Amino acid sequence: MSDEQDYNAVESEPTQTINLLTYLGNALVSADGEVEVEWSRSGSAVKLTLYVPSPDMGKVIGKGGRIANAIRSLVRVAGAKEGVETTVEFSDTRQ
Amino acid sequence: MDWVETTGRTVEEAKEAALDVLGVDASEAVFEVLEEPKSGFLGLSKKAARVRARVRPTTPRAKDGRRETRRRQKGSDGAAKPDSEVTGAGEQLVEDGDAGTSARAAAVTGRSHQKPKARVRPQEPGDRARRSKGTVVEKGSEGQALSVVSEGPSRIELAGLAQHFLAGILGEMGLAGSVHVDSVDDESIELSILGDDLGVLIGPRGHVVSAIQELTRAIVQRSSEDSAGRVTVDVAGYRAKRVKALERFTTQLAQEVLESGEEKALEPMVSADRKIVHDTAAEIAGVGTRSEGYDPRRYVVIFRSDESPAESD
Repeated sequence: MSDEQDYNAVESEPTQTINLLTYLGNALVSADGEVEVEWSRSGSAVKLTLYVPSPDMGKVIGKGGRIANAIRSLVRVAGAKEGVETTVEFSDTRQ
Repeated sequence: MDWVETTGRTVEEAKEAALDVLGVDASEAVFEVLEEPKSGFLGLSKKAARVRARVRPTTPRAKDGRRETRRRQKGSDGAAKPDSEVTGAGEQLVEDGDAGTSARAAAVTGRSHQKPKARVRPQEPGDRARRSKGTVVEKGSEGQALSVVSEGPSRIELAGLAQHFLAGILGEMGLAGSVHVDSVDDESIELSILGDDLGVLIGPRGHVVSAIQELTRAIVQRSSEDSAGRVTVDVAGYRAKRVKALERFTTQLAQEVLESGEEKALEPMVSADRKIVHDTAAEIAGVGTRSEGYDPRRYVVIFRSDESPAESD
């Protein structure tokens, strides 16, 4: 399964990973549809940035970054399924 | 929570899984299709089908008095592999007509595949699809959607929300499984995810299941008026096994402390695990425990004590 994916697309979109991050972001912030995910890929490394409204930053970071780390852990799993290594960052929604 | 949420590669597969969990025939179940499977690229499933199901209510049942029976027996392999384990218990129970009781019984034991597929009667997806993600239907209130984002959701609703959240994770990750609310009370909500191929959701040393639990707790906390209480999520019986192992380990360590009189510090653990250590040691006469350090590197120390052990956390 991952062979096919690897063969296919060095720069293909890790859809499931992006969708999972979007899902988690939406579930954690108050209003649906307010989060946005940006990603870039270089080989098997995928960098994802979750943009959330500033007042909601705390909800995705959590005390001591616990929630942020939990998000990273789970997204890493989804990334592994798609054959990519993920890094997740969090940022305020751009004005 | 009579509703179960399940995922599968196809809607049919998800329904089958739901029936396995409920332990009833398709004709006795009510389904909602929450999400159609999306197949991606090269037919690799990008998103699992997700359905929600419950036993079709036959007679109105009192809400109270149903809860104590809900606790799932831990470590039941039948429940972990609904597709492979055939016990027949569910089959017989459903014949008495009290679908509600049998559903819970069967959820523990798993179920055979003898049900006629032709009798699957899905509810119109359109009707259900209108409901937003954050809603949950409570049993007993026939088809009436209660919004969980309304003020002061009940504990049951919070548990439903958590269940929904977890099923969503399965769906997004394209994993087949089912999500169960094992118990709900004022102090805690216990959920579990069961399925065949969920190793990735456990992760090395349970790292991933801890992350899932952390997120679920955050979701519940966000929606509850006051404290979320304890929220635990188990995946494929992992935690249940780990609790046992930790209890054994603690007991062994406590014996060593008793013999040597020397304190022993355990490795840093999350609060839930520390509680297991505290609780286990509290049962052993002559030892006490205390926690030291700060999260996430807080750890328990077991020491010899003649006083009654004081708990800290």
